[in-house]
Amino acid sequence: MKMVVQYIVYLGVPLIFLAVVFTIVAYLSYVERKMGAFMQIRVGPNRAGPWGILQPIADAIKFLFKEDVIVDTKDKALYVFAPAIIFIATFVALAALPFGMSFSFMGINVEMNVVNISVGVLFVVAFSGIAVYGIVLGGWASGSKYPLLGAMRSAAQVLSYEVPLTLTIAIMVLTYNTFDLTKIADLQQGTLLGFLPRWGVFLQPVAFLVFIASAFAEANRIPFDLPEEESVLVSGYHTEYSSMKFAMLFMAEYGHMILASGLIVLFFLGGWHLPYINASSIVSAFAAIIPADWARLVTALLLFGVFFVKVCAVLFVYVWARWTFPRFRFDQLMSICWKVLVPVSMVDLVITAGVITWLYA
Amino acid sequence: MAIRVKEPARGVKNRLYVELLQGMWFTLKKLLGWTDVTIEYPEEKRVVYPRFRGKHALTVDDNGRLRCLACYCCARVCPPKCIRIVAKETDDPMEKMPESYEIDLLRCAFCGLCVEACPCGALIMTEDYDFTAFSREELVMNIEKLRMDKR
Repeated sequence: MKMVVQYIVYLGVPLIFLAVVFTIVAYLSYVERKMGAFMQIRVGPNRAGPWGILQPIADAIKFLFKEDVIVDTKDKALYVFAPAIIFIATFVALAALPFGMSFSFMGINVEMNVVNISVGVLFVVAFSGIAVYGIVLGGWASGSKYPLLGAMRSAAQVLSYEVPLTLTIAIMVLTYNTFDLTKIADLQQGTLLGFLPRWGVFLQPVAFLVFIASAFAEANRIPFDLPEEESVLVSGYHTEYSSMKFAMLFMAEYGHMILASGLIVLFFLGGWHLPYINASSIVSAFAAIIPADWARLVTALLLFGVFFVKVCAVLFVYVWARWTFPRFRFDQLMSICWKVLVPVSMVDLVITAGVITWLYA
Repeated sequence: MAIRVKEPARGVKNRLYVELLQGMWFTLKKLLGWTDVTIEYPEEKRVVYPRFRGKHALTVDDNGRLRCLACYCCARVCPPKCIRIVAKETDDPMEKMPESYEIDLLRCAFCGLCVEACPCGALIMTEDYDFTAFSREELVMNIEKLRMDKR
């Protein structure tokens, strides 16, 4: 019996996570449109349901029933597979994100992650890098010039920004001395210098800024959204896609945003931990009123809520920035990466490595 | 070859990219302001200005008869020639009246010259601007559609 329940829990937690991720993906598009509307003193979607709250569902139905136009090129297989590559790569990378405190409830282990990978950081970096293959192949196989140009830009941009992104990840791995995202989150409990929460953003503020900039570029967001620049490239690599293929590209883009937000929260904003309060002290505080098993369950749910709120806050910044900034010119984009972000993160990496060697010598 | 323009010297304030934060603050204020300038059209309509030139109407006098005397002034002055009048005689030997009076709104440019030309104030323009139809014929106005019994 216990085995069965354990098995159900192993299956159920990732499914709940998947449901949460897809809900965020769907409602992020709604929130994005609504927030943009408010910032531009407009109304935004308001026809489907009260305040347009059912708009994502209407969009999904529309995508399902739209005609699936397949362009007449030689690379039809690539054209069909490209959205799948992007979609799979993004959502597989999401699987490595831990999203809460693992705990045992009545003898059943509840792991608050989809897969517990000890080198989760590398896994995420590897799979989010694969997504660019889908963009390039999709742009190439579309057989028209705008998707191709968008794909070329995307390849150049993502490969360039992968460098500072990976360097800052290396900095954080050095700082926490582990590749395990769960441990990285757990190491951010407690305080720094007695008054700051011991979060990555206070340990490595420079790396935080570089990481945010690179993460924006990785997710092709404004101000780095040159691969899908509407005014120049129609809509970049997904110009020729329609129906569910477009929806997959769209969802993968938002999935990438969620992935980047999750990484920012895990590396720099204390993961699922509240500032100043350790998870163990929350458990013991609850244990004073309710049985220990239930205390652990309530704490885990609370901390999952904290993680959710933090990710949503970072996503809010993404959307907020999108409706605030104009986009860069392409040479500016490249010079920001290679002349600012890469040197800064390299110097930061060397300094961090030096300080750590000096501290642990 | 491109002419390189020297960039203006940037002060400390620009080096810190305060403008970025100013921009973010501005959009945040707008977001939290919750105002909108949208007129949600089918439910609420824009208030038209005085002398707005909308759909035409034919006025009537105190006895309920059309003021129109079928003088053809409007039809003659109409630039796209969209007014078509057939006149008939009345009991009064001095006057005519329209047997049919048609305005093709698909041709009409809403210039208002017909109203200016009308010698007896029979043709006016209303503030009605949202009229649609499923066929061209429905948008050719006749006396029944144009007649306006009270102002």
